[in-house]
Amino acid sequence: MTAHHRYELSKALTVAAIILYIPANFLPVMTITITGQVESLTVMGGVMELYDTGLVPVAVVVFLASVVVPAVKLVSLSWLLSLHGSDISQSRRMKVHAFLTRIGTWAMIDVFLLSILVAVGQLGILASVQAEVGALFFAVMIICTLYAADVYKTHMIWRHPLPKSQ
Amino acid sequence: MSALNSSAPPSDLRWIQCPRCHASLRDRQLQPHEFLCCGRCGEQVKSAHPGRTMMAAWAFAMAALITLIPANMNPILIFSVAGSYQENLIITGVEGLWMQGFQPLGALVFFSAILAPVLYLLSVSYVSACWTLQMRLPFMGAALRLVEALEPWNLLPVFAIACMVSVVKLRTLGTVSWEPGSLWILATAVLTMLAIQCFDRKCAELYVEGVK
Ligand SMILES: [Zn+2]
Repeated sequence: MTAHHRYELSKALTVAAIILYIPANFLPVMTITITGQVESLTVMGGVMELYDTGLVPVAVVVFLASVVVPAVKLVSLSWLLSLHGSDISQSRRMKVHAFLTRIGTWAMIDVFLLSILVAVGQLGILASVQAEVGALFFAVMIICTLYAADVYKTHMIWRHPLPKSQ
Repeated sequence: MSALNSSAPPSDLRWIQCPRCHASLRDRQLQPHEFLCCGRCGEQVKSAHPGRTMMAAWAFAMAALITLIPANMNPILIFSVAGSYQENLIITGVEGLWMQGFQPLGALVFFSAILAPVLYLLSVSYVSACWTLQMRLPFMGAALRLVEALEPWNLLPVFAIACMVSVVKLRTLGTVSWEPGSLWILATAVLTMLAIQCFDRKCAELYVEGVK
């Protein structure tokens, strides 16, 4: 794959992730039924519920991982890609890119959380957790951002990788 | 340098390329325990003792493979409400998502929490074992490519955190008890990170290409 193909692919994945970000955050990811009460939760709803039950540190962790990380990733990927091929702030772009690949996977916490909760919710009418379609959008969005940062390689930030002469 | 190797230029006149950001660096002879780092991105380009940590990478990867077995066989947590209870393994969540009609999500969790760690650790230990034993075994190149391809899929630390969050969250719904499975997952995550730290990819690449 040439640098240009990688750039184009990264751009396509970022655009796809930006579009998916909307249904991923506004559609419910799960429905919890506990002793007759039915409740549909979006990603943000799950965070608010944790916050309301007084589990503030856990709410902050989930909020950072599943709401802040994807948003930060999409904004900085767009910034990186819009400056592709220019000389502007190359070393800062390199730092941002390294940071992106490091934080990228944390948003998967929501998908894993859902899988553990779904497994628990098989106690018949007493308690059930049903996955909802928002989770599907969320997972695809995370995979798009994961690969958008991965196919864009560090050296593509620098326009002139080799000096013309020794 | 002596007349014996006059055909090759002395190493301090050669240019080498940083594998990460492709900057050109002047090559030089390294003192023991010295590293040559890229001035632009900080990547460690050359080491005086290439592959020194490979044996440790092998050991950590093998240890992580062993801890993966109890991590998958032991329940992460036990949840009970009004007398009925349920044990919860990693695979239980995959089954749950699959049966609720979310097969892609179930497959994703299966791949990222079970299959990818196994494949990643197997290929890391295979390549580092080849290097440590200085044996050229088949499929070394394929194993190294697998290591590279699975790099973004190191999701076990995330799964370990998700276990803790789920225990806290379920406390509002019923009775939850911690089970050793999540500790095994945490142990595997830590050992995997140590194996990644010790795995000298550049050295492995050169070895696979045939340059010793
Ligand atoms: Zn570099």
